[in-house]
Amino acid sequence: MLAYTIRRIFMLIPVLIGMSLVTFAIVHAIPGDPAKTIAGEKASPQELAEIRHNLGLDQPFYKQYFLYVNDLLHGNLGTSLITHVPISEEIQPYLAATAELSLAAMAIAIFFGVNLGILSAWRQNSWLDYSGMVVALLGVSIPVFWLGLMEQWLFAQKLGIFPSSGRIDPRLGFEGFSGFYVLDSLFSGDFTVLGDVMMHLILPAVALGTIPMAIIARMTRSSVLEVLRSDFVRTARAKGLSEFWVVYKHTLKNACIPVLTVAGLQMGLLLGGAVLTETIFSWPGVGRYIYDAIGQRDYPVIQSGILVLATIFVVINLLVDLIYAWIDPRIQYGKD
Amino acid sequence: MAQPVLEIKHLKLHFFTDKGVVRAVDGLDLTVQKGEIVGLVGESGCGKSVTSLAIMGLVPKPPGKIVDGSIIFAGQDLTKLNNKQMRQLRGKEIAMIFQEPMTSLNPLFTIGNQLIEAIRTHEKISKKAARERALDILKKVGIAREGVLDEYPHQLSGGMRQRVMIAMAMVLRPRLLIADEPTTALDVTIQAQILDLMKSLNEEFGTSVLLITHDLGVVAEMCDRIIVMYEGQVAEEADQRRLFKNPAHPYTQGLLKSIPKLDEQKKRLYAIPGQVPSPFNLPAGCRFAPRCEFAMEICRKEEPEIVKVDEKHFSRCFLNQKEAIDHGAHERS
Repeated sequence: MLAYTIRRIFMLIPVLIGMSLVTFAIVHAIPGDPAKTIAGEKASPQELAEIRHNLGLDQPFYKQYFLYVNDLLHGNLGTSLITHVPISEEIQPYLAATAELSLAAMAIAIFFGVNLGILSAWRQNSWLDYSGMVVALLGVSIPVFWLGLMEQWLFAQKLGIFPSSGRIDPRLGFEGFSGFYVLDSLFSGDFTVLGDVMMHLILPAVALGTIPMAIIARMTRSSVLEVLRSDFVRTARAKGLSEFWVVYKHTLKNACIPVLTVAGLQMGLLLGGAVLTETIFSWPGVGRYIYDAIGQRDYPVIQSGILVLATIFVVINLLVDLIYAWIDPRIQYGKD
Repeated sequence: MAQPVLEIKHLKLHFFTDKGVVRAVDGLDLTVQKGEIVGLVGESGCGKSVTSLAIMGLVPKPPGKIVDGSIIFAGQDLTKLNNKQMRQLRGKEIAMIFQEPMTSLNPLFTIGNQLIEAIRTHEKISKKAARERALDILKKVGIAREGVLDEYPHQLSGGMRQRVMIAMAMVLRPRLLIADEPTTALDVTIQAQILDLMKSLNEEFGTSVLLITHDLGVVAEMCDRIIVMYEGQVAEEADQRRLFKNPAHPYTQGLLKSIPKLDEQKKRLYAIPGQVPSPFNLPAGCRFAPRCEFAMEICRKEEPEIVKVDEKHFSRCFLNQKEAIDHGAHERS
């Protein structure tokens, strides 16, 4: 298991090289001139040439790439052309905000998705099953932005239960240290802040978690249905176990591998794909950070932002692979 | 005679499907005495496995439904118990082992986990005490290695897994063990070992066994009494010696003739002609009549009752009716 883990981590290297090459190439293929972004439309050709020279943009493509990779290896993600702040520093609070939102959304998605799927499978072809699957179908079909707007309209505007946007009430004057407001407020023992942070988190997390919830519910249902038919489930029942243990111990553990795969992929998608939700709820996340950078042609930010997200995506899927082996002793990664 | 451990009276279990009603068990009578090994024999689809699931209360409902009859176990009618009461009997008083040892254990939990779970579901004892009992019973089924408790099913052979299944079934010393084709999926040498093991546990614990099989060889070796099922009904019932020596029902005779014999020179094996009728479309009269070489006019019109042909020997055939009358015996009480 340890050998496999190490081997898999080394296998990430070519993947990461490929990813950096692709993001680098794509960003360079985008029409537009970063020098003009910096100097403005009215800059003289000399000024532009100077800026290009300073940025190394007059060098050949491969040299630029190697410079970029060299920087990456030193933990340098580059500097924003607009704010002149190192990206590795600037991206952190955005990343934390997105991670907090995605984790909350995933928690909702997994909890409701898995239980909905189990109930549907356990009472297959009953009204419970049908209504569960209707919910799941609606979940995958409703556009995130529409759901977000409806939530805001109903729960924030009409009912006034939740705040409509942002991460925290600025009047509280709270400044976290890690960027994860839930954890920060929990550790500082400030429950007023914690409550406020949670209230801000719920609406966007529900909006963002709906699609993965629906996908997980459908996956869980089909997977549980298959496992419920297996012989060992009959054995478990023959032992006199209650349905709860039959389903949540014997069935769920066997059914969770495909569910886990889907959940891992969805988690990766949430990290980068939260732009719409982040925009609607004014959530200062990494999706919006990159989106704004695209509007401003802030090439280093686009490039490094995408690379960071892609890296996280790959790492999450590695974790999922490692969890497989932990769940299923038959998966012996050492001997593949 | 003492009260039987299990007494099934006129059990009718039907499946209500979209295509029609399947009368999987249709008026079955069966008793198992204390310490007795009873064989339930028949072709695939004759209702023997459904019978075992009915005793366990594990028939999926719907589509399955017990429409008539009773299953009396230790004085209680199982058909009248609710889920919770049934759960308390399952695994503790009535245990079951299945045909497929390869898939009957959960692949993701250790043997120890699954054995201890079987114990602790019914008895409030510590994990440590349960572990010791688990080791004890494993020794009894011939697995002396302690490490086996921490192994996963895929690390064991089929025979070992079936031993574990037997250990799991016997650990709480149930009054009745239902074994549904316990050796069908095993090698012949392992089959003999497993049968020996079941027999010795039956003698040691006094557990009654209902052995479901299509293998007459197994039945001959193991059983005190044999019940032959055909299309959801008992075709013939007798003790082991009588059934093999003097089968009364043409179906049983056919089954016995189908066993290949080493000293026979015939090129072709005997097979009962025809096929098992579709459960949706049972023949009128005797259910075996279309395949029976002795079928008479009456067989295609009326359903025969089960009659006594000899001491402890019953058969459902019009051919036996006359003999029965000669014996002065009537319909079985």
